[in-house]
Amino acid sequence: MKRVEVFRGEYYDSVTLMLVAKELKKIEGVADATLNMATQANLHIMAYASFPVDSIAASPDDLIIGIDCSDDLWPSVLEKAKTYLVSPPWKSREVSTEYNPKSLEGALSVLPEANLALISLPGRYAAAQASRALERGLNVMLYSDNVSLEEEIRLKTLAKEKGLLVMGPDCGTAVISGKGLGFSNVCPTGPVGIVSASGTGLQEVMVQLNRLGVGVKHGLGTGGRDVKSSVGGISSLAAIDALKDDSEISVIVAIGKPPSPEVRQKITDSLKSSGKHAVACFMGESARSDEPGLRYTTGLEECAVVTASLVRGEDPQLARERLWNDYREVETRGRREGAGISGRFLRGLFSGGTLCYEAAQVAGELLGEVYGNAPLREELKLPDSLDPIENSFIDYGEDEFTQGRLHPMIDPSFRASQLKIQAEDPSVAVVLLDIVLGYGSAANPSEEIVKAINSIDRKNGPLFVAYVCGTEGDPQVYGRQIDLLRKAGVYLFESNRRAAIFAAAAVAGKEKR
Amino acid sequence: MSLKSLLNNGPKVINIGMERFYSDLREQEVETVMVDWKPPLGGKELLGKLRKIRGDSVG
Amino acid sequence: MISLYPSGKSSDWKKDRKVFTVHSAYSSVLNLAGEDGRRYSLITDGHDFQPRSALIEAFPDLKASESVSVILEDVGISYDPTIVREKVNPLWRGLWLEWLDFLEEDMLCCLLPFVADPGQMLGLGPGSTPAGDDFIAGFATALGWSESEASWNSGEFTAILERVDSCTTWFSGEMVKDAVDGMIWLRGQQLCKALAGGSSSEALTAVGQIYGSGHLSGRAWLAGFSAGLERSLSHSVPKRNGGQFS
Repeated sequence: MKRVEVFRGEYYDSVTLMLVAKELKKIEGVADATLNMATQANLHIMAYASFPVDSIAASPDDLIIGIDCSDDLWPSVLEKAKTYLVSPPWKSREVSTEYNPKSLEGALSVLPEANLALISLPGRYAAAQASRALERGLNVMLYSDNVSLEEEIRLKTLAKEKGLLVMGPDCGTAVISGKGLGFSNVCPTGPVGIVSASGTGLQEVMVQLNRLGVGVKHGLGTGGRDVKSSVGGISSLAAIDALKDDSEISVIVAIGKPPSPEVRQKITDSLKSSGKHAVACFMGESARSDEPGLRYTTGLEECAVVTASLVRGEDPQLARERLWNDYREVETRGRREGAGISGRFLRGLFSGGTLCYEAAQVAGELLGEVYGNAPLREELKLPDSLDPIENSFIDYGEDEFTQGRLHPMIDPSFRASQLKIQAEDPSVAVVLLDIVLGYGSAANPSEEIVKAINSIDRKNGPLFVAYVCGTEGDPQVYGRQIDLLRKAGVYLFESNRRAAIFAAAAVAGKEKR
Repeated sequence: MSLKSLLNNGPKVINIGMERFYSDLREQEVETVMVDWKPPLGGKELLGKLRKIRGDSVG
Repeated sequence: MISLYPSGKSSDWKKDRKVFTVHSAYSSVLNLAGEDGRRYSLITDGHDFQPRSALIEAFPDLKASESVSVILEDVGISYDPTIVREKVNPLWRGLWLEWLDFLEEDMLCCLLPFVADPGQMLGLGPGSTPAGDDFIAGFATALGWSESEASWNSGEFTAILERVDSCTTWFSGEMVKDAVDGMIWLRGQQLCKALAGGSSSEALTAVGQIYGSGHLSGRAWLAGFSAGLERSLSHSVPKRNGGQFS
């Protein structure tokens, strides 16, 4: 029996909520437990899972606990939930743990030489802290989303005045002197500097460069809205300038969706006058010819391939052509494999926003209309992201799934549960996934995915295709993740684009029959 | 501090929010401090009294 | 009657062989009442040294009101609880200011109205030592430790001493009296040492040792200590890089 309870005005961070839910699910007789901040989006998800939230009056600052258990267990499980929230059972009980400061000022007295504040608070608190940090002379990496455009402009204007950088809002990845901040993969350093509006875009390019034996010194995030005309590319331009000045960097790379025209002009001008090689990857654009001092790429792997060739002093065009050849082979293979599968549609279930975007683009080229919750065109937006139709790509890192709830790269369980639902739909022919490794990500992301795959109740199951974005140095042990997925029968590819090409070709191959 | 000095000296990070980012930085031997931030809980009146105390002492 | 043989004592434990009455027993602390009406404690963890305490390997199961004999002949001094005045390093101000915010929490906000006049907090608040008493102890300790030009009203503390016996428990009152008398517990002493110095890890460890102690006591004590430091510095407030304090 599913029941809910609301705790008014309680603040707990998402990790605590997830871990308490996990503890409750261990209790015998508890079929399901979920703890969320009572945002509209979360209430919708709980309603979809048949929790009785219809008559609940709650604000996003309230905590809502949903438990599926028998009536007589309910009071004790609820008590346990309250206890776990106050005294987390997974925390050690030592008295002699170090004190963590509770304020920026306190932290500054402990680390006066601090030069960056990494802020991952809920959006409505994050902007104020970011402002304080800038006032105190710190650069800011703002992981938080739900920061308004006005706030972003204000923060970046202040940063510009002070010669500081704001990475974000919604910046999940950065690398400085080879050290990863937020979600990042273990890669060597090298003569490349990257400015990226996209977190997983940066991760993918770094991972592909790593495969080609090339390291990255700095990878600076700008947040997705930086290149809008209202923001004016403040962070992008500041980052490019800083990379220009670094004598250890010989190639500057800019990654993101196409900027607004006047910002684009400023960015390309800056890149071309850098005196170094420059590579732009404006995703979603059609191919354009290279210009003196600046090469254009349209995909993340291509961006890495061109960059690597420049570092090695090789001909980037030759490298591109080898890549197109590889892609053609993958597509041919996909069409062949797809011929015998049951179902008609491709479903992409992604944790990385840019990986989803790139894959959806590829699928669109091969299959025509592709729907989604963050689609390439407005008219392709799904009315309900929990109910995909035809060929659909869902980004589970989007706002609607991450308010007061952990990002799918940290907690794979929600996406895994959606995977089961999608895969059991007989109309689905191919399921495509990304699995992102590295710091910040879950300890064993493939585990939940594989569990979901193995639990599928369907006679002729869909084809599973995945790309593991990771390196040998990553904490999750790349080889082990690959093994787990391979044993579950998943088709694996060495880049996001290759996996998408194969998956889309498999469905296209079907249609051709 | 400036962006330039950040890139020259390597990151020294104050982490405000998720603890996993802090532990990942420590694993990479980055100098870092974890801030256990919580939103202010007290009612306005109580907060005012608290601030007055601090304000009084500042002189 | 059981005889107990500690191996190290605090310098203010004068009696070499005496009979005590058990007040309370915890897993690592045994609290005793002496014939002089003072609290004495036997501890099994050296971190718990405090005024009139002695370190013992273990103690048996004892009940309140039982009598025990404690034998300290030839036992060396392991701890001196006398507060020694030092200058606090003003660079830590950002850190200690945080501790006043502990009073915003549910369980401690009853103390907020009295922060300017801590004597009013005697016996107030939750905890086996009422949180208000922990605050006063921290407050008195800070004023006893921090070397500053500020003059502070020792009359305030005389008034507290007069009311202690009637306003709070015996045990908690002992804690307040010791603090007002210029005596300090080891964890407090380590904190003071850290705040006079410049080592971050020393400071964070020392704060952590107190923050986690007891259910609320540690936090209430730190809040009081913070208020005491602020009071002591009110005539010589440092500025930092020309910036504002929060």
